[in-house]
Amino acid sequence: MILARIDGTIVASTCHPSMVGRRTVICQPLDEQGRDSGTPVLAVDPLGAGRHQRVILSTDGAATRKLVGDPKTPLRNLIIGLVDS
Amino acid sequence: MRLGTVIGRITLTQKEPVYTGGHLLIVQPFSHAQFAGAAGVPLAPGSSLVVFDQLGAADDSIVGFTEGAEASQPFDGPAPVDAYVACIVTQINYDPPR
Repeated sequence: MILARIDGTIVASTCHPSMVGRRTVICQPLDEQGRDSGTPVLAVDPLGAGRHQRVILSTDGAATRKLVGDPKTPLRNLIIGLVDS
Repeated sequence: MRLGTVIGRITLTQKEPVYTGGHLLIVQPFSHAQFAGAAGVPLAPGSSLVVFDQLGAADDSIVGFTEGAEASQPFDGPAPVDAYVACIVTQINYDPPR
């Protein structure tokens, strides 16, 4: 699990069937001081996180396959929590 | 999943049967500057990778690709694929805090 910040969203014209209708966000991983760490990654967001919201990102593919209900999905990154403080 | 730009493609004469019906693309992962939309950012040498594509991404298009074990999930059986195009991106709304 990774601490990250929502820095944007993407719109895709063509995508794997398991991504249809799902919100995909750009997440900036953060270090323990809250500074940017590395380049942004994409994640599926079932929680509707807001702009610049800090979130917890899971990189467990099995959990994501369960959420989208498709055992053949290539998705892995999933927003699993919104950070309050 | 990461974002990258399609900078080339690979054609095979002999290949694994599982590769039939797709293409192999050379994809350059996005840097921080490219997320922000900076034009003319030079490509970082040596960091591009080969990604399997079943969606039909064109040259210079931006794709979201997944890596690792999940890249072989879309196939019926075991597949020697460790990077897979999951989506072709048409719009990026990137707005980091200043």
